[in-house]
Amino acid sequence: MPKEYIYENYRIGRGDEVSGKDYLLYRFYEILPGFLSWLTIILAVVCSYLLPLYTAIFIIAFDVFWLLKTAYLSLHLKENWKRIKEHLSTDWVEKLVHFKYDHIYHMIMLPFYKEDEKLIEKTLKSLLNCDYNSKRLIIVLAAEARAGKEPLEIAARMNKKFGKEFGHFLVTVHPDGIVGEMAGKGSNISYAAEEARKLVLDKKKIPYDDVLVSAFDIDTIVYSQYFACLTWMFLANENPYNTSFQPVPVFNNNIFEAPAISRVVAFSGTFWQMVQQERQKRMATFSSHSVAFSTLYKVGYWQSNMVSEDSRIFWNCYMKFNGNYIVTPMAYPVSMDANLAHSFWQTMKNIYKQQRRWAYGVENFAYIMFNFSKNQNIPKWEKFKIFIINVDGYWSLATNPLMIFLLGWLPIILGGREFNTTMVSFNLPYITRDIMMITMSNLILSSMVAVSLMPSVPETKKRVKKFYHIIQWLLVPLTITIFGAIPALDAQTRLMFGRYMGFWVTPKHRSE
Amino acid sequence: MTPKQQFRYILGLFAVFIIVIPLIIFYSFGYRISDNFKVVKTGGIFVSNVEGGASVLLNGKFKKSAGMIDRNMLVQNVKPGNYTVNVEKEGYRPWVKYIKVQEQLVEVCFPLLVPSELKSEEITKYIPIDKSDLKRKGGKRPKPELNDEYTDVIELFKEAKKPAKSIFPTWNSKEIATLRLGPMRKLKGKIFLSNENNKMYVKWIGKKDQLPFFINTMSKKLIYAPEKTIKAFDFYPKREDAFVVQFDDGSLFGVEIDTRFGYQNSYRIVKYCSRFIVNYEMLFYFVGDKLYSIDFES
Repeated sequence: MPKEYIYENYRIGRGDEVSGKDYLLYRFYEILPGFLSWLTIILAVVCSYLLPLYTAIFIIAFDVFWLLKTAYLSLHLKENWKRIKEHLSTDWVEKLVHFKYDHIYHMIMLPFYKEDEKLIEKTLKSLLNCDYNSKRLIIVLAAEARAGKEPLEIAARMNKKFGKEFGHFLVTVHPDGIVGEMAGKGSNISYAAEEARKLVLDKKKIPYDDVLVSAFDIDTIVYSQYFACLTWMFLANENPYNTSFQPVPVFNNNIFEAPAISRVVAFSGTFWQMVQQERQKRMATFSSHSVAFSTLYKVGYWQSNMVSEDSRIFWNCYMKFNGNYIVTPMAYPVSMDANLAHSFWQTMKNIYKQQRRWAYGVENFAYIMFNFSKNQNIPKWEKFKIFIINVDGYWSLATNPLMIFLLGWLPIILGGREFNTTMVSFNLPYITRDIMMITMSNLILSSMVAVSLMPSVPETKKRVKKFYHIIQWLLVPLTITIFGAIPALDAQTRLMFGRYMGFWVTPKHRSE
Repeated sequence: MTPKQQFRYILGLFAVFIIVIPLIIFYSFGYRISDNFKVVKTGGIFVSNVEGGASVLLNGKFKKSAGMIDRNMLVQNVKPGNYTVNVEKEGYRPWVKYIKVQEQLVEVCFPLLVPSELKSEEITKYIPIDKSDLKRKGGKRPKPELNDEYTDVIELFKEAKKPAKSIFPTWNSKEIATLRLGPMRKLKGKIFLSNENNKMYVKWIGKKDQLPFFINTMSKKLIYAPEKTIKAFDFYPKREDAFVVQFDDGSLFGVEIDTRFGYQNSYRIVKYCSRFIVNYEMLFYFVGDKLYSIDFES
């Protein structure tokens, strides 16, 4: 008889936290994504040398597959774009009239490290300016002890300035060096949520079921009706405690200051989230998200022993509720900062590091598979589907751009003289080029969506800037390779060799 | 998007994939539908690195023109058989080749397009004196100033007489040493040209897999046996598939290495010179004590 699954026993951060057979199994799943990606790349090279003709056929088929996949994803993008526009023009406050919602509180987690005071102030002002009763907002400004004195002074000043404007304003200081924790956002907001429970909810006797927690980044700026929209979706949901609410992150805060590469990478991330919003069953939470406090409390908050707490919280809930958990796509945006540093090269480095950290979400794969092996309450077919979705996701991210833009030439380089006299050898670069040109036409839609999601060009910026915002999309082959495939491969390789990554805080910078 | 819509899209795109893939693969392998709706196997001709704007004609019929950026041309849909390939461009001497196209294979051509009129410029030993300058100085002739370009070229001529030496030893320096490079034995990349008893030979010293089509054998190959006596030779400016040869009558000819299908294009470049040297895209030559240059880039 299989052992009963106790979720709390398996909140594992990385392979070396378990031992014996469990260690081997967990490590196997940590190795698998990287192994598959490297196997693909090595096979592409070896087959180009040994079987150039068959490799050429595979490349042509793969190019067509990629073209059709891009078209398929573009249809989702277009659909979500329509929904976002519709949701942005909806009066959610008006819609809420049909519900009793005065009892709902919103707890907003704002973790910060060493960010600028002005940036924090702007975030708090945006919360205050929302079309929602600010007295129903519980602000949790979560500082880190390891960041030194200055952040604590900033937090105190913010408390003084905004404390009385909101229902509750709590400043928490996450202690440094707690055993078993990884310094990062997950450990900070978990500590802050527990403090908020004790110091606000329990003290004021606010039922956990009536509190919706929004885990934001410190640069997250909400659109005016975000909380009204979130409240409506929560109240209208059939299973509001078995779902997380996912807005669409757009990186608009400093979009006119960020360089073209940064803008393209940022919008690519937004587009991916928009596509995922239309594929609910493939969704996990990402970056800023919202969830009922009672649900969070049941799962023990965000995991504090790993990097990708934002997506892991979904899988924690999924395991805790034996698969009866889903993400509700809000099709409503929140605005964040695009990567921007003091110099161009520093911006490039930061983009790479941020993409690598996001790609390190591959650590969830081992967690999911390991928990699947323990939890017999989830149907096998469901487990298989999730296995395939995840393997395809990680594999595609790390290998597809390389296969499309680089490896397509390998049979010609390595195929030898005999292959290089065939029609297929001479046709391969032309066919690949033509298919890529058709695929790139999807970027017209991307540029239209991006321009429509951007704020209007400020007076200070030249009109020509708008033109750059359209032609910047020609950088996509470069960005998805250098800031997509390579950091993903980097992250998978680190995990594969057990060189676990720590949490890297993306520096926030905005031009004056 | 509803799951039903998604399913429809997936089904539709899958159908497109299933239909399109065989078509593209058969097309890329050279299969075509003939006029009487039969499937036929075709071959192709690849024209490599031709001048921008040049046209390719097969058996006198225009087929394609080279772009200004992509200077390679793949002529497809060619039925197997023998063809006369002409590559033409206004202001250039016509290039012709007789080739055999085989099914599902591509024959590669390396046209040597030589301008009809090559502009040669004299490089004077001294910088010419400006007449107005002479007037200003009251007609007193200043001391002539040596022309740097002239001295640089003279240095090149001197260097060419010495055996080729590399500052740093390379992995194949031993192999190169056995080639005994000199005025009648020259190497460019992995292509070795030699003149033995007034006969020009080529040998590929690289890997078999990278053997160029215009050589086509790993053995030493006779590529040129003129009636006139060869005085000197070098690789053609900017190219490794052709060479410049100087005969005892002083004339300079550009000759392609490719001798496949029994035809070799050669063009007279200079009517007479006493000696010459090739440096990248430049050809320098002496007529008596006067030095001239031809820029093959322009």
